[in-house]
Amino acid sequence: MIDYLVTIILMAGIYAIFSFGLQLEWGFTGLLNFGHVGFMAIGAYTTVLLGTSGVPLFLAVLTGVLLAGIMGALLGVPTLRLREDYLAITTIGFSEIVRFILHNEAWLTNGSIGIGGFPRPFGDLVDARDYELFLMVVVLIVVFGLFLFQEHLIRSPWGRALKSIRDDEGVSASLGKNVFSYKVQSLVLGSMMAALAGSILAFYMQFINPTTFMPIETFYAWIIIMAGGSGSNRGVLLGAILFQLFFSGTRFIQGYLPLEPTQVGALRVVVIGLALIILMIYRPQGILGNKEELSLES
Amino acid sequence: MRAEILKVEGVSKSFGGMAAVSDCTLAVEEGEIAGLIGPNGAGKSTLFEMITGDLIPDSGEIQFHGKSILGVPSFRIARMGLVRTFQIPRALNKMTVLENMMLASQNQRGEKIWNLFLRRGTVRREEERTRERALELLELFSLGTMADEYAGALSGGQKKLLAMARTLMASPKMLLLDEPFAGVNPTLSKRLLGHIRELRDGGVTFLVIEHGIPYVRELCDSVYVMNRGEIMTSGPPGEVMADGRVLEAYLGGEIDAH
Amino acid sequence: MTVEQLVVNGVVLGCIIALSAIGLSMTYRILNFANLAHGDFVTFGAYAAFLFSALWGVNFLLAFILAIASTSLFSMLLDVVIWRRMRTKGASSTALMILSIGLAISLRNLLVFSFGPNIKRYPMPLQEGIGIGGVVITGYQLVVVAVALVLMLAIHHLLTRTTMGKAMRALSDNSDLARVSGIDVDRVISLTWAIGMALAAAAGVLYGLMTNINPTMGWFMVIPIFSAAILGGIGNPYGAMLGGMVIGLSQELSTLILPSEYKIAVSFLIMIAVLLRRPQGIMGGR
Repeated sequence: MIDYLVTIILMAGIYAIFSFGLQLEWGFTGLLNFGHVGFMAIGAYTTVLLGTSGVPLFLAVLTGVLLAGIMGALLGVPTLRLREDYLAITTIGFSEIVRFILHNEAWLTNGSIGIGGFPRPFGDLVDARDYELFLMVVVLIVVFGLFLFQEHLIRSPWGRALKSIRDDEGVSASLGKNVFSYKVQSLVLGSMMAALAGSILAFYMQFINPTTFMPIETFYAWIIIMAGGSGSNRGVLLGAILFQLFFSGTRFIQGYLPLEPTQVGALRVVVIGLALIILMIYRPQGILGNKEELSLES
Repeated sequence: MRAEILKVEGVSKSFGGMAAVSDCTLAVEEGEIAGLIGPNGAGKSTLFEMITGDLIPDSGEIQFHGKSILGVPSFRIARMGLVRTFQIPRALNKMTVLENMMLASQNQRGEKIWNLFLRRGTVRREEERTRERALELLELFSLGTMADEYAGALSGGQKKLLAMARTLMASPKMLLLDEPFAGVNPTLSKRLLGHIRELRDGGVTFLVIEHGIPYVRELCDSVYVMNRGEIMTSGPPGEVMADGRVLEAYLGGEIDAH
Repeated sequence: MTVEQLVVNGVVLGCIIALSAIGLSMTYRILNFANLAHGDFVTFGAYAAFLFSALWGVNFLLAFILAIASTSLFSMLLDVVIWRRMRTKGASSTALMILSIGLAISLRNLLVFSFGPNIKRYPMPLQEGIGIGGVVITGYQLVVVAVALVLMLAIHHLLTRTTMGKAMRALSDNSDLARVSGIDVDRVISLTWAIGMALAAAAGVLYGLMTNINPTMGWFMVIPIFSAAILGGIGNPYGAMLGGMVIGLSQELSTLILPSEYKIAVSFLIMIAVLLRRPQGIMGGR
């Protein structure tokens, strides 16, 4: 039972870190990023590949995070001036191309076979049976730190500039704000958080391959922030917990349903999709979001 | 003669073969209130947008304080001290009135992300000063009690006042007002007029676009009249209003001349 | 592979992308949002035909027609239940886009739930390729091109000769003017969904006939379909047809220099290029 709880908290934490990045981009800046998982993949693969080459893990994770940030800037420079729907479509393309490269360049990434058995932080010091608990504590610390970080950001003048862009770019520019620069900064920071989540996910699962980073993961982050509350950091925490409870909960009752495992998996996603639809129709601000701050009415 | 703070020379702009603005030249002296009037479709908005940096002229030159601002992005022009308002006041509805104001302050160190962590004390002190200044200005515009309300909750008239107060937070050298009196009741108009005059006395230069000319005569030191993309005539309001061609340009002489 | 063979393959693929892109282009313009569930309607159509032909034993041609009809009706139902409701609330195009993601993943996984995740095929005989003038072409590929041509001509007729078609064009060109001139907007929108998704379903069945049916077939076509629609100019069905052919040919011909796994990158790059240089597309107006 305790093991179950540890897994739930751990996975919720990883998804929370992942979703904080998306919240910064969408909830605070109004950017439609549908390729968020691509950066998670970059973080995970960079950490794993460097780790297996003997690079100290702390450095490997840091490199993954920085590389994701750079990729965010490279993606952002041509695309962040586009209309938001065009940005959305191009970001989908981005994460799919990242996945394709990971799949096809097997000389680097081992392709669809994936990579396993890589070192993890303090792997030799912590007993294998307790590792999950250890990682959970690490994740909780990171989540807490990131929460404080993001709260500080959003209440600052920098955060205020982001919010003005979310609200009305034209006004923001008329008051002297370099809208494009802020958008790039937002995307870069958000991508770095996704990469961090990816590294931790890799340490937890002890195995990664391109199918770990399918587009659906991005949409999980979207349901987390939309349900928890667009523009609310506490909403990210709530959304991540609810999401993970749902996932684990459905896995729990799987044995009692007269359905194939793939069917249960599919049904799970159907429910999530329907939840998003219903949310958008009836309560787009989510549970903890602020209706006044929602930028979804035309 | 005072220095020319804004100089527009021979500026033209066409869209799909049709000339919206042809060879326009105007100059605004420091400390004056200049007006730009003309019937609908005269090209005033297009000329306005070229000055604010939202459109790039096909030809000609625009200088602010002697420096060319041709091709300079609009946000940079705002930072240089040339600040504009919008015809329909665009308040940032999802932010509070106070946030709207504090946003407008220029050169905030807290807007650079690294300062949030490396110079926390400086940022905090700057925020305090910005907040004080914002609240003072809000009081001046009778919006003090609305400071913590979402700007979306303000009435149309209050939004106009907020827009003006907000531009002041930006410490402008020159204000470009896009039809500040459009759809505004006489009481509020008198207030706006008063604010504009006070600001001018404090050293701010103005270029005001107006479609109709109810307040132009009272307010402006000089007036430019545009018609069909060209500057038809210019001069002191008294002269310009009496000019027969100006009356003609406005659809058979129907000018609202209060 | 020879260049001629790649051209043939490109034209065939282009027909499928073109058919899908027409519907996307129309809904994008008339409903004013990017429907990210569009690919899954393509998949839905393919599975509908599978249901009718493989599971219910219906003659394939009839199954094809039923698949198109059922996808059409389904999309019209969704319009009433979801899209119209959002329109009444004054929802922004962003909200609709996010909602369409929810629809996309629900629809896709509903198909997995119902039919399982594995590849399926229609109960149709395997076709041998026929050699014509140095290229190999299968009977199904010819069917794809023939059906696509017929459907595109039908669309052309609809848009130019019928009142409804003209109403659609009016709504597409100038929505405000069209609304005030008495056009029943809800009805035109309904019809836009019906026709657009009918074409998407047709594309799905044709693609399934030529290759196979799987739950992500449509989703993986989303980028090429959007590229085609954007390349041709959103709202212009003829542009979508042209765009589809260009994308199809580009993807196939790109294998001369790129590994074939990266075909999708080609359509992606074309889309980025168009968005950066000429976002209104080849045949887009403004």
